[in-house]
Amino acid sequence: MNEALAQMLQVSADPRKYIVDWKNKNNKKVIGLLPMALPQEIVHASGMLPVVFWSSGVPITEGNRYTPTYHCGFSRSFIDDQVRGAFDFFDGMVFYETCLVARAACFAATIHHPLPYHRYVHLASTNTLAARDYTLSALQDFKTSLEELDGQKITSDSLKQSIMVYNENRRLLEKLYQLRRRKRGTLKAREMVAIVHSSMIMRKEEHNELLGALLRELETTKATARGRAKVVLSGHFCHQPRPDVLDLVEAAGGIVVDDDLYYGSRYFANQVDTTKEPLLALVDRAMQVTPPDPTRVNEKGKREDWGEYLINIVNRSKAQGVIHLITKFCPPHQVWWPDTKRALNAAGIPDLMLEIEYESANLAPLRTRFETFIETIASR
Amino acid sequence: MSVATGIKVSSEEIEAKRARAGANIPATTVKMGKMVDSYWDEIRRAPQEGKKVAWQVGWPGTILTYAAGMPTLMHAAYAPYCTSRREEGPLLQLANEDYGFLPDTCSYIRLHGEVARLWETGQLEKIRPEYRMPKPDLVVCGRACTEHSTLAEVVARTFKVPLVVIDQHEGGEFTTEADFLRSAQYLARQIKEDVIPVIEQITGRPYDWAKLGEMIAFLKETALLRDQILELMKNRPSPCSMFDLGISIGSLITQIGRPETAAYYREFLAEMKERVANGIGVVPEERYRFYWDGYSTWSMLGAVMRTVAPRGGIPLIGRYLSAFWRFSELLDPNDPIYSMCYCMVKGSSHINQHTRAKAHIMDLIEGWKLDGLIMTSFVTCRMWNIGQNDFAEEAERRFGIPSLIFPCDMVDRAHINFANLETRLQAFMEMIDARRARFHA
Repeated sequence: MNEALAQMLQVSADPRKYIVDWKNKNNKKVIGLLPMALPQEIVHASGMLPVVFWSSGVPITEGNRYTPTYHCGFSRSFIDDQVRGAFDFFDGMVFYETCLVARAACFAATIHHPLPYHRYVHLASTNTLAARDYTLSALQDFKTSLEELDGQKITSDSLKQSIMVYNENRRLLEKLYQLRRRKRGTLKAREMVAIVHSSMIMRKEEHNELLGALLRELETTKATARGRAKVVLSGHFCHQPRPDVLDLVEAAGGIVVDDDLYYGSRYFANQVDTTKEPLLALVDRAMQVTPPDPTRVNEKGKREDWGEYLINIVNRSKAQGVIHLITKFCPPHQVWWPDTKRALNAAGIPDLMLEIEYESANLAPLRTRFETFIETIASR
Repeated sequence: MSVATGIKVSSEEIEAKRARAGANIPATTVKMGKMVDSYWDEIRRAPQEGKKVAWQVGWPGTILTYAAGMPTLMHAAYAPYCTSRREEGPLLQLANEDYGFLPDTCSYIRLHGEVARLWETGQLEKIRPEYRMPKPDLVVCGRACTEHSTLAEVVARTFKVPLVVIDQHEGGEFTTEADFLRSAQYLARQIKEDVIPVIEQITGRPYDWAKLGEMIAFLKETALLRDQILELMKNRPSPCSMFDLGISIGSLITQIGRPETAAYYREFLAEMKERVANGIGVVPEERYRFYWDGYSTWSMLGAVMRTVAPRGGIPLIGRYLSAFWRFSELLDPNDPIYSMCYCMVKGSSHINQHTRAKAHIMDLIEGWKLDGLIMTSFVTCRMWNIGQNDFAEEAERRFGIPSLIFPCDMVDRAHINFANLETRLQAFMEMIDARRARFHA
């Protein structure tokens, strides 16, 4: 295996090790950010390590005291990890209203097992002038709070520099996704998700080097896809899809050629405009009109329709179908799935929907459904 | 009986309602059904009268659009309207089968989304005539949660009408007055820059600011009257239950800022004062005063009252009541937009973020001398679920009173086990009795 890939997979498999090693080596703080829209560049510019909180996958125990079981697995595992002290190596936590469940879960975590620093940042859900100004103000306050935490000013130049580093990471990830479309099977689905995940953990400069090395090697390889049908994966916000579920898709004959997962193309979508004042540019990206974000307000005409967005992904990747991975009890995805399904089907694109539960132990039913779907679309 | 509301109810109607509720419900509240009916009639007539119609989701209720002369369907009124008359079942089933919603999706969204879809796909015959409401010309939303705006989006997309959303910063983390002020200014700016211009565009005329000021004055009067009723509920026996106030929210939401709503609450207050003066309670022998958490569970109000009331139990007070125009002394008819926003920010931050909510609930327990907490944990509305265990632990620690957390839903009866509900409520009251015997022996 490519050494760069191996390193990224290792970081994804054991983020804690990387983070603790980084802290010890650099003597700097680590700030956790809730998915999906908080601008990590601000933390990066301070010299601290911004890390997107992940779902540990560990069975939920303590967390059940604080949240009902009919809330999404990410929110439950997040509270569980926090109150058990599993995230105690973080120096701080930043969150916003990803959705009403995530917001409440984070407040619960700050109450029951607060990290030394925690902050709610209000990213407006709409895209009006008032909303942009309010979001800018929130980011300015956030920046100030980080400066007070670390005792170090975050200058405009340092922020611009961070934005450039993050833009480079986005460019490299985009290049990797383009390569996967051209050379199907070059990377397994679980590997691609792990690569993006490792980007959420690592200091971006390091990750850029690894991505560069991986891309150089992959450019010289041939496509190795052996599946029967090309599919796009959709959904699964906030936390990474289970690798064993992704393996099932491929074991069933699916070739994952694209996605709109958060642990996927959504993470690196849209460069930040380096010609603008940095915080304004970060507001722009937070207010991005595409990819359509079902956790925000998609006023018609202001943001791209999710159904149309998926159709475009299918067309550019020449996929044969879409697999919706809905995290069980995810309110934003629950609401929008029927409309996106209708849009896809109207465009002649078959789709499969699966609700993935945090505690799913029996994968056999999923395998059956994947195999049936792949068989169906492969025969068209 | 005073007819200040213009609505008459007979003694037979009152007694029939009381028999169904299993409690001595206030006579005034029997009028609410007719008041709400008049609200729906007004909306149904709107197209024939050449009026534009709005659908409103969330805060600030119907006041902004009504001031502009637009009859307005309020989502938090339509769902109870359907549910209290058992119309929601067929619609939710259709929402699952026709629209394709997953059954764990917010039941308010499923209900309204399906109604919109039936309209647009020419299947209105599947809705009984009295539940068919005019299509909106505009959808307005105050986004207290993600589901609010997605509900509004679903409706607006389906009907292909404009949508305007007010982003709300709930402010659970606010620590200074400056935080509240900034959030209120943000709300006010959005209303002035984003909502009012769209309303003017839809109606084709300048916004009637004088009308809004007048409505704010009536709203203030109404809310202050309601606050007095809440205070009277501290008496033992309490003259009414939280469900009586919950039902009365009907006009506070739908006919907000109208003289008839103020008149209703004046009558309600007068009746409550009379009851307190004469020691008349809403239940025959009051034994259990409950905190009730969650919205009014429209699908189970009657089941709850029929179980607890004959045993002397009352759902007395809850943070839900505080969701509607608390801090109404801040309302200013001369500065309607900003004062409305400031009032909202102060009120919502008080109840939604659970540290503040916990403090508020402990104050309610102490102030209203409560014996236990009954907390509904909604399966499809996850706004208030997190924190309820904390409230239970704190109530036990500070006051030695027990709690019951019951999974259910505000609308969807498929998520409610009524037999379980009855058993658990009975057992809960027996538990309180056992504790009393043990601690006071």
